[in-house]
Amino acid sequence: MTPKKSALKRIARECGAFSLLVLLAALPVRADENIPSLPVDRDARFLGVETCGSSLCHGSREPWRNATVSMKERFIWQEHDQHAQAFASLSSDAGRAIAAKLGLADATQAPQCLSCHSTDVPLAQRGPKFSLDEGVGCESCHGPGSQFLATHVQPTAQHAGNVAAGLYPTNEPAPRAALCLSCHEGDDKRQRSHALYGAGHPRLRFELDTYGAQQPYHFVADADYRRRKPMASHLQLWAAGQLRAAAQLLTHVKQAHGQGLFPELANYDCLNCHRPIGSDGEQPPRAGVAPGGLSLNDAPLVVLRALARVAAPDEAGRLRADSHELQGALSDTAHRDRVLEKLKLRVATLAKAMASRREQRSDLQAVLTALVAEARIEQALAFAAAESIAMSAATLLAADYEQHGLSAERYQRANQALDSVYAAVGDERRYRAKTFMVALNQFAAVVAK
Amino acid sequence: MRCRQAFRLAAARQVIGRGVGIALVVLLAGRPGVLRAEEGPASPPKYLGVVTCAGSTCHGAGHPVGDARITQTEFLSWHREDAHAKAYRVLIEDNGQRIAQKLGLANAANAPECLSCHATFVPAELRGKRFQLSDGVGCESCHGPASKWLGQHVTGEASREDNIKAGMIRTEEPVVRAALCLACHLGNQDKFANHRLMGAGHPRLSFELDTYTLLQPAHYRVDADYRERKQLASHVRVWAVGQSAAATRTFELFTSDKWASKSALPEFAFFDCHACHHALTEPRWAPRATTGLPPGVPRINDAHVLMLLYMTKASAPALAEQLHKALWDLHQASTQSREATLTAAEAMQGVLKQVQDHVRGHDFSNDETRAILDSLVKGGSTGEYRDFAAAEQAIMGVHALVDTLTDGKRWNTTQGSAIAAQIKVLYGVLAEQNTYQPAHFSREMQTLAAVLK
Repeated sequence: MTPKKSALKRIARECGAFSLLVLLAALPVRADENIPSLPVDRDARFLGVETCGSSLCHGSREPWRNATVSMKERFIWQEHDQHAQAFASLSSDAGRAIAAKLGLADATQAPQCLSCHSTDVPLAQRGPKFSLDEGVGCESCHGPGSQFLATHVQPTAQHAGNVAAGLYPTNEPAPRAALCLSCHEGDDKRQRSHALYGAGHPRLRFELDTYGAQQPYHFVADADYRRRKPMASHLQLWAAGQLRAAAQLLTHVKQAHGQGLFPELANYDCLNCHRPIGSDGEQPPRAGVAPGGLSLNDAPLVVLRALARVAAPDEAGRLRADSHELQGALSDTAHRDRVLEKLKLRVATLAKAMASRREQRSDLQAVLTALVAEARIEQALAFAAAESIAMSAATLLAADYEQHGLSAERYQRANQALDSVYAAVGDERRYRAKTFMVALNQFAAVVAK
Repeated sequence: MRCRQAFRLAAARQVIGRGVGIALVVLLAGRPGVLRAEEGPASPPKYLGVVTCAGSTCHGAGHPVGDARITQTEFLSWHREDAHAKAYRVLIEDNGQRIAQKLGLANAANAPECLSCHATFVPAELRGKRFQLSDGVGCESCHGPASKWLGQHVTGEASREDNIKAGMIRTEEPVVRAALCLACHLGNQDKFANHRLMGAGHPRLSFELDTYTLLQPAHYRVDADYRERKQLASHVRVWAVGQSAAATRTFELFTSDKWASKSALPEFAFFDCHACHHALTEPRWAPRATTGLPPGVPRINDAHVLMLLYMTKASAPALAEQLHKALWDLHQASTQSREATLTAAEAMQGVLKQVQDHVRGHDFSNDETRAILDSLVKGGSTGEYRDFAAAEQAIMGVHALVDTLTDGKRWNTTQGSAIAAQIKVLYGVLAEQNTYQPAHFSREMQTLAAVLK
């Protein structure tokens, strides 16, 4: 399910309320190698949601006097956040049907399901209050409580000290991207697979900034928050998500063994194959792909080309040429792997450029315009890329409004235009690149004025 | 018989989706056939062109001629009703042009890869004066180049066997006919409609020898005289020989240097189309006892092997077991590696050779035909025809077997009508490939099983 436009509008409104408070902070951005190991990959004790979310701490119904946070984080997670249902979904009708097709007796016992549907750490690391059925709980993202709880509960505790003790820096774009995408796109340990899709698992898709807001956030980025933690901008979050997705794709395409005769199909454009026979005229092959051939789902690369136009203009053309070359190189493993290596370097270069960039007020509009320009260049924009562009456009537009780049009137008109963009990717069975481009061009016209 | 053929024709066309509009009656006012050969005995035979055969006193009569042994309207029947007559024309029509453009061809009507099946595409030096490529798949595509036998054929002095010695093709013999039809309807070492062609918009290939012979439609009349001159094979024999030939050819192509993919991606044309071509919102995987494959794996199109499996289950159980194992191994190997798959495909070829020997030397009794029919229907009832191509083969096979048994007077009129009605329902389930519901087909197969009792 693509995030609903209404939800995005709501997000934008809520963000708008805080707009005065948001600074375009020059956040120290970590390079990839400095990303701490993910919480569930650490060898430490996990104390369970009950520990963090007791009525005396983050499960308080009443706000605390003098507290820097709301203290009701547990209830926001429990009542509004899908992560709290992650474990329960394994025993839903759909969860059981998927498990049965995969030949699993019980999804709630299967490591391949639990790795993303719970805080699946070894038995010896589970504290007395820990329970797998809490799903994706506090420590899945914030790190094992045993590492930082003692520091954290001190009245004198500082964010930096907590992070040093083991609190995961979810506020920083690159670590957050690595964390969320480890499940929402897959990583070396948790790889998405076509076998899972074939059994009925929903298709994975992700945009870091949008999905963060949709979660919903269980913090308020007020003055106090920003005093304690550097706040990432929407552009930084969005870029970090795309950069991580691209790096992950480039690694996975090379690593995944696939299924015998076939490569790992989860990395390919779904609609290459999943369309009615006889509909070949509706969606011509991508540039460099022969009729009847496969193309890689390179949505993050398409989107990053737009970022490159703004943050590393010299790289944009090369990134485009290489990503097109990749589509034509898929049937030749040696050639493919050479292009993958080239692209990894390009993505790393772009990440560095982004990390050292001081965000300009005009950046958001520039990236929005560049997104449309890159979409136009594609001979036949793939569905997943179109969907990614729609989500990117929505999140960047909302950010631009929030940061007063856009007037309320134009924001409203752009938002209306965005409705058509979203409608064009609302149902993959009806997706047509031409229709999408018409809508996207109308959106661009409003934004450019 | 004619009536049943007409029904089978209509019903089969439903599934094939190739209802052929009746073209304008265009009588090519050809002169009577050329009586003399155009070259000496040592040179290779030449193709003389449709117009040579289609003289109005030869095979181009406007209506059946008095007491002739044949109708003499063969040309008209081909020209008006047979899709082969339009094979060339479709290359230059809109769809053909679109496909050619996507393949990067300036003109499909000049492209050997198109002409090889859409015309009697023989080297220029073998084309007689009145030969035209634009005749499409004409008389000599199937009956053979006429230069060596036309003279004796026209005078009526030569026997059928004499003509065959001179190069006429024994199209009534299922083994010969299968090889002939499959050259295009499946492919051979020289031509093959691969996935590149499909991706450019070429229709999916599907073939069952007995059904398609009727579907063409046949331009001959099976009467006492015909039977005297030619051996008429039963529907079950034509079906079995056709399946065996198609399965054998499939794995020849699958293991060939020319058509098997050598790149990192396999040749998709060997896979079941609908294993992948279904909506994302309709995950349709379910276990199949003969594959053992998990979800998310494209399946090799095994429709012809499945037919042979159900045939041998009823007529050669030991062979059926070997075939079952070979099929299982092949599907499993496809999830391991290319080398393992090729090894399994070669093992499959070994078993298929035995099946071919069994089929060719076999005289199917009515009881055996009945057992094969039941076996085929049972496969459907247990959901083995989840893949559209298999369901399509199953219903065409069921129809051929039912026709055999109707010829053998195995049921009364009431039961015969009930069976025919249910077969029609099954064709209906397959009318639209993109919305095929395997469970629906399975249910209707169960109903057919009940009607057949």
